Amino acid sequence: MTKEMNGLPRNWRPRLARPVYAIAGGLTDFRKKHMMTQKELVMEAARMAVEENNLNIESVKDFKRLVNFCVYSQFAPHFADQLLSAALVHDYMGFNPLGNVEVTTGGATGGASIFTAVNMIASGYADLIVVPGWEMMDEVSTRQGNTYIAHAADKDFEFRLSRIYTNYYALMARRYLHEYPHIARRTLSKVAVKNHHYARFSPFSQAPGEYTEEEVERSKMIVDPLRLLECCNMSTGAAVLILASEKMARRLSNSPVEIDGVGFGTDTMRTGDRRPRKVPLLPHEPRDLYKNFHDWPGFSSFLATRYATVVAYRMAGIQNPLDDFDLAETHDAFSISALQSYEDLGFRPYGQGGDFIESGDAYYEGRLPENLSGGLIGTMHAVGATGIWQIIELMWQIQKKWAKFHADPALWARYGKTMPSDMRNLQVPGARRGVAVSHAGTGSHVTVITVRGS
Amino acid sequence: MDKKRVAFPAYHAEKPGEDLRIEIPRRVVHFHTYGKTSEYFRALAKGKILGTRCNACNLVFLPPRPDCPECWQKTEWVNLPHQGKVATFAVVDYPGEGFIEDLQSVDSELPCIIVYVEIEGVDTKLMSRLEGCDPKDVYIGMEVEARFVENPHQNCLDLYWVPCKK
Repeated sequence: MTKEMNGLPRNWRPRLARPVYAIAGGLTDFRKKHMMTQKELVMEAARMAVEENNLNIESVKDFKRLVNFCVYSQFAPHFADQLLSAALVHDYMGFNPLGNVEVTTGGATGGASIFTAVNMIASGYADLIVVPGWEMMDEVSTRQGNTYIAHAADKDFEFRLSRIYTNYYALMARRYLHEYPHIARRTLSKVAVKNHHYARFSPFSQAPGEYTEEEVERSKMIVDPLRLLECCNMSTGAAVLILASEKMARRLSNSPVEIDGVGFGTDTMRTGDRRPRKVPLLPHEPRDLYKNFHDWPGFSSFLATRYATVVAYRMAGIQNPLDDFDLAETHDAFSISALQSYEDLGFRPYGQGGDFIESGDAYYEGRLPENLSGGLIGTMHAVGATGIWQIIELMWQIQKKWAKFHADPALWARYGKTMPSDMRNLQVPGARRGVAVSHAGTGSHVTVITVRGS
Repeated sequence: MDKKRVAFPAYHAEKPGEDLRIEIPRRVVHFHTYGKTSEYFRALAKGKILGTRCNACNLVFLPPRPDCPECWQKTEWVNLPHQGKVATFAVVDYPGEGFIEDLQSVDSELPCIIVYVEIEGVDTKLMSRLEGCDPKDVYIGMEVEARFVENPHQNCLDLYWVPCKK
């Protein structure tokens, strides 16, 4: 066996051979049912990315001449009922004969697509890559949609035990609350309340709402202990991110945001297969912090997320996430997965994730505001678009463009919505660094991506 | 299809002025093989739970793995005990499409208790069903014992667990 240090093979120092920047992003609004094709959805998001991000270009054609490659992000062809969707979308946007690749790693598809594009630019293959992500979850009923998603569970041993991912997370939630009895059920509800609340200030959001913890706890039971208001949306929509090399970024943008860390981790597909391991430590965690942990990661934590975090933090030189980051976007597919992620990312030690919410750190004006976008619970989980949308939201915050893309009444009107009269300004002053988690299955694939303003 | 369970009438009734939406019916049968894991499903029909053991790594897998993921050597089949403990559980009220029919095929119904069962000497945990127990009474650590459906369909629903009689 390779000797390991901090969970990484000794002497492995993952790095990007040259810097990579996010320069522009575009979204559709997200809803259960769009009357649009996947090609039209991606085109709408791509137009916003190219035309509304203050790029130094004369025209769309001017921009397209500079593009070298596309990385397409779609989770499940079941939903669109179409294989090789990338060909349709690529053609629709007139990108032939540029190369493209369609990436799919479950819920982490968006993060994995960015991971792929970043490495292609860092390697020198490309200077400008368009990364469109989308999911068409509106061709089938919600029940059928859940069955399609559950095909991302082991077909022989777990798929037919409920056919819904909420079950696989409910099993983890129950065990988490059992192992850490000091964490209250109510803390999970607070995650849901927070994210629905922030979703109210996003024109893109599918499930905005002002709820109380009691309302979350009285909402429809999906799989005990998880209820409707603490589960992510099933969404249709698209997100397009534009990534560039340093030279290209400086040419096209006055405010490029560096992607300075990309970590990738994996674990078994079946949660029950996870045998005890030593916790890979983050730089700010004392060596003996987890000396009494004998069943980690068990059902409560994600080895994949922790491993990806170790890699990404090492790449980006993160010493303490609470000090170094101004913003975080976690993959709150369910209230419990947000709490689990706080610990994997080192916002709190394992078993103390609840305090990240209870202390107020996770809120706007808190120490590390988390999911100001509204998250997957409040805003969307159009799976292939999710990890891309997270980075776009972080980028806009760092570029001080939150208001431009969230507080413009014309943008709300574009989606047939009215900006709330009690609109809040969620621009984080001086936001410079952020981190996002893109997460598949019950933690089978996870990317952790860090971004930094120039 | 059960008409009452089609959740979104919007899928069938088009609103005036909207773009067209058509129905594409689908019914496909896959002929799926369990490969070397077939032995496990055959054993369920005989009232046995088979796991696999890697002697080199000293690991016992359930669900079985015909090849050890650590050393890539072939594992051997071992008979496992029919008693275990609930490692965690969830109660399914709202399942994905097709699960109600799955349950009907084994004479069960919603709400369905899903458990991860911990068995002594096994290094992994198995997801399964818990029957004969009110959802209010199940707890982590509860002792359970295996049961097998009378008419096996050779899938993971053939095995279920009930609380141990005290």
